[in-house]
Amino acid sequence: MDLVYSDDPIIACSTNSLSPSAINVVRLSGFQNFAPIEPFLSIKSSQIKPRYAHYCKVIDDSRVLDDVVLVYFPAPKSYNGENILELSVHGNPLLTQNIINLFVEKAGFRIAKPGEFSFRALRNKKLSLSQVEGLDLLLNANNKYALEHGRSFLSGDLYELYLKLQKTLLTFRSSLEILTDFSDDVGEEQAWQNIKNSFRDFSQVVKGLSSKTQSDYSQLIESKITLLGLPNAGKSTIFNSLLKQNRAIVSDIKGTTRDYITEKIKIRDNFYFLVDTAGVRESKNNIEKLGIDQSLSLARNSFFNVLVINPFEWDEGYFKKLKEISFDLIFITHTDREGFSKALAPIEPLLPKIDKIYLKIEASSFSFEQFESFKNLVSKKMESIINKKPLLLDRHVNIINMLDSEVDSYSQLLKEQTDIGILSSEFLILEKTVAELIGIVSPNDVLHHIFNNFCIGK
Amino acid sequence: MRLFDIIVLGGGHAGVEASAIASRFHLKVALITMPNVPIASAPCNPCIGGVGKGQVVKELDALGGVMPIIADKAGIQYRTLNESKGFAVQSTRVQIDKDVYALEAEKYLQEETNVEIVKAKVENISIENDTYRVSTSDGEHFYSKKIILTVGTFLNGRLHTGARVRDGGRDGCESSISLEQIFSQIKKRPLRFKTGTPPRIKIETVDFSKCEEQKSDELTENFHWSHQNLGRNLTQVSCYLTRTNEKTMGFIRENKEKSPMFNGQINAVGARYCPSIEDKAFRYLDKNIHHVFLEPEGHNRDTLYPSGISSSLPEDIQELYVKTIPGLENSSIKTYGYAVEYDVVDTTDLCLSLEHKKFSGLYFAGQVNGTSGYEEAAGQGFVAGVNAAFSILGREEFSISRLDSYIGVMIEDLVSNTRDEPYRLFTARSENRLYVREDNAVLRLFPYRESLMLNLPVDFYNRDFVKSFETLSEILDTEFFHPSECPYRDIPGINKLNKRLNLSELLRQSWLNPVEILELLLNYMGLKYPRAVVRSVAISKKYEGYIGRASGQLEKIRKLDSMKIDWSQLKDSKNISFECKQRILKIKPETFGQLKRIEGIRPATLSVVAGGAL
Repeated sequence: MDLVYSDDPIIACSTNSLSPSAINVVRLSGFQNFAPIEPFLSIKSSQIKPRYAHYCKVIDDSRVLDDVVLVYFPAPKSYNGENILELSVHGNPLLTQNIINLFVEKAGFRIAKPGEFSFRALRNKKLSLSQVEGLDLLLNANNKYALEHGRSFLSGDLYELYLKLQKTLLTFRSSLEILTDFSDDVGEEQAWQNIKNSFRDFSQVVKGLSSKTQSDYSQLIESKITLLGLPNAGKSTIFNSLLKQNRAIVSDIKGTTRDYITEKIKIRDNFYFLVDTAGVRESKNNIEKLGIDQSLSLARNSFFNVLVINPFEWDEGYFKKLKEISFDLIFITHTDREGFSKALAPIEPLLPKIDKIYLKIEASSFSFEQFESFKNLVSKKMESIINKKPLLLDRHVNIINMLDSEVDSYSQLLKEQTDIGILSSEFLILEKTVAELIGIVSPNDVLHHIFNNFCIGK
Repeated sequence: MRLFDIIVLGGGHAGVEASAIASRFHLKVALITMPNVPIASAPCNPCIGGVGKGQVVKELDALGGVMPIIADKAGIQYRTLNESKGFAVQSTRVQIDKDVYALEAEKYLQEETNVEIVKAKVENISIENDTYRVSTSDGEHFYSKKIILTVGTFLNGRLHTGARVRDGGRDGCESSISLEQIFSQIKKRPLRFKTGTPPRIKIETVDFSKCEEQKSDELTENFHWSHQNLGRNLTQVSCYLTRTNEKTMGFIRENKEKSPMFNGQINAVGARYCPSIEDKAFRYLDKNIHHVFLEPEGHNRDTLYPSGISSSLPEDIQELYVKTIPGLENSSIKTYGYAVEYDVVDTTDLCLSLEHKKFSGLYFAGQVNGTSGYEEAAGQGFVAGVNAAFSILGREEFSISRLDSYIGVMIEDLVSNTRDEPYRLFTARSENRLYVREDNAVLRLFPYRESLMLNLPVDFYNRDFVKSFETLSEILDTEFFHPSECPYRDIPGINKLNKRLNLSELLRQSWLNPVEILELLLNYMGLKYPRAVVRSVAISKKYEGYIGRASGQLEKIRKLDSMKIDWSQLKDSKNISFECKQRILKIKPETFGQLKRIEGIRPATLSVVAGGAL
């Protein structure tokens, strides 16, 4: 996000304003006082009580635009630390737009950029960076896990774990400072013991975090099911028939040009993105290599890979190129064509030993059982990953892995060194990494911690 | 009517440094101090130095300050603190004979400087045009364009012993004028600060057999460069360690309502790092054993300073709890402990030069700025003194970077933030602890001292030191050897290294004491270097790698931190939030580093400023 921002008052509709609904919430943030807003409300600003719901009207030149419910959250006790006014308006898209336009044109508000409310919350230390990331995850979650995971950044397990990381880091740093500045008060032996214990606690939290980063699960944020195979293997037919059964209510993803076809589908409780790599090749002027490369890179970032094979058009060269991809399922098509068994026989031993579903030429004739077993396979994989509670955000995964290896080298150093100057200088490296993850510990925090927990001073 | 270039008000540790250094610039300096208070007296603990503070005293020595000289002259016990914890955090502490200290300080000002000492109580300060008038109770008037205020705890001071309350800066001394009487416009901290001192115990009533003796360390070096390394001016004495117990703390807890600090009589805030015995009793309910160090106050004094049990409880309670401590069962108290509360100025109104932002020519240094400790006061006094002189001479502001010194750390911390308790230096306050050490104080402060452009003996010493340091350092970098060669093969553990390497790399090995090894090698090579240089080079080599690891980062920080910023431009920036602007307007930061250390300044503001995107 752009760090250079302005402090203008901002306005936006915080609910989905594109389709009609019962209520839309229009949020105004960052105004210094009610002066610019008051002329457009039927209620006097002096009557507005913080955090109370007030019924009033939005008025433009004595014309009533809407009856609304207004709640005022004064700074700093608001979501983002600024003055916030929330108007619950009737959920007509046009009406909502009119109200927003009124405040933009006549009250000096500007339409908020995407994420700007939260950015201000971050800036005003109302949310930590990881909470904002969690919020993003929560709002854009496609599966139950991402939803829970996003929530756990905001206030759940992960938030607790990060707090614990910060707390144990602070305790550890304090123990280093106590040995340096106050060992007369605490006793040298006790001070060393504190260092060892608090480092152990800190490294345990790091190890706990790093166990969640062992594999790259970032594909869970946007879980793709990718169909790979030669032209005419039956990919598109399978794609269409899966869609027919499971097409998500929210339709195709707009706004970007793609060389492949993607549709959102729902399997059990989760949303997936079904990708047909057919388009890759066709749009590339038959530059086969490019096509295959792109299919491969799609498959690499995919959650669930499906190989589609027509035994009558077997190309060993193509198959070899797919070797690095780990497949979850194979569809073998054209079972009803004459000579199928004969065609399949030489190929079958070459195929990976994974689940296979056999389909007729017309793949739309997926049987009910075949659909169920496809869904089961996808869901099973999802469940098994979710059970490990992995971390989904790349940035976090990378930093935690770095921290993990730094903790290992520090642990070695702690065995060899008794020079507290060196120990605390090298500690700065750990501190910097933790700061990248969750924020900065200042020397004042450390001293506060020491004085509040130890009896220091002669 | 008497006219001076600079008038220093207050003859404590800050005042002594300020007047001494200012007078080096051939200026006419007056030090006006209370008639019945000794110059540079030590009203509380009888020691100079300590962790973090010893570094300040060494910094003052490299800068040409007074404290290191007097501390050596009055030193009756030397110790190296943190000896087992590596060279970076080692600090010297000297117990002093308080009477000798005060006498030597006054003698120094009279004999070594042309400071005029005026012993009088200041009644009033007023300003006429750009000249300050200081009027004393004797009816005399002193005029100057520069005033340095170093009035310590005497500003509206009030003493508390139980319910007995009296005005005063310390026991037996009246308090000085209140800040309102000086300038009603100068902003004080709305909070008053508090500090305390323990009862003094008569030596002949103490049973030392029940205490642990702590002798003076013969191998701890003197503070001052021209004093013989290990020579001592006075006979050395011991300190003794004893401890409180359940009974001690029980008496104190039973009498909570009689403690002025806990019954509401005192509202001021004390330092958490220097708690009174009441603090310890009520804040740590499960802890009854606390160290008590019995420290002599001087050869001609019959009292001990029991460090660790400062108190403002009534006299009878002090008697009770003192007698529960092993060794003190039959002791008698000569003077009772008390707490003193006093006014402090809002240091965020000061520049890095310690000059007031609104009153040109008015400087503040020492405890009046809300610091605690003699060394902190002295460090500020020096900087204020140089700046007052510089401004008369038309030179630019003198300030020391926090990356080079603890004095720099302290002053920048003071002017960047208000605090809720007295400020003391800890090594934890420095970002650069591996570099800011006692042994290399000359190297660190050399450029700053040179910028004073004084050609005095300390300057000759510094130059020699730096030159020797550099040549020896280069020898170590360029001299290669193989571990199998004589005499290296005799170094214990040397066979771990089976390749050619230079001497610097050898000193870096964690299992070796670099100082001992370097002394041995130089002896073998027949090279002679001053002891202090050898020590400093050896330690610098040991840490070189670690400092290097951080230095890339540090260099970036240094560059960015020293970047000048224009706060008046920041206040008009559209990209900085209202709240940040308020803070910026208050502090008026001059560099990026200062801006960064303002409490509550937001990361986004910093990136806006750092990126130059105003």
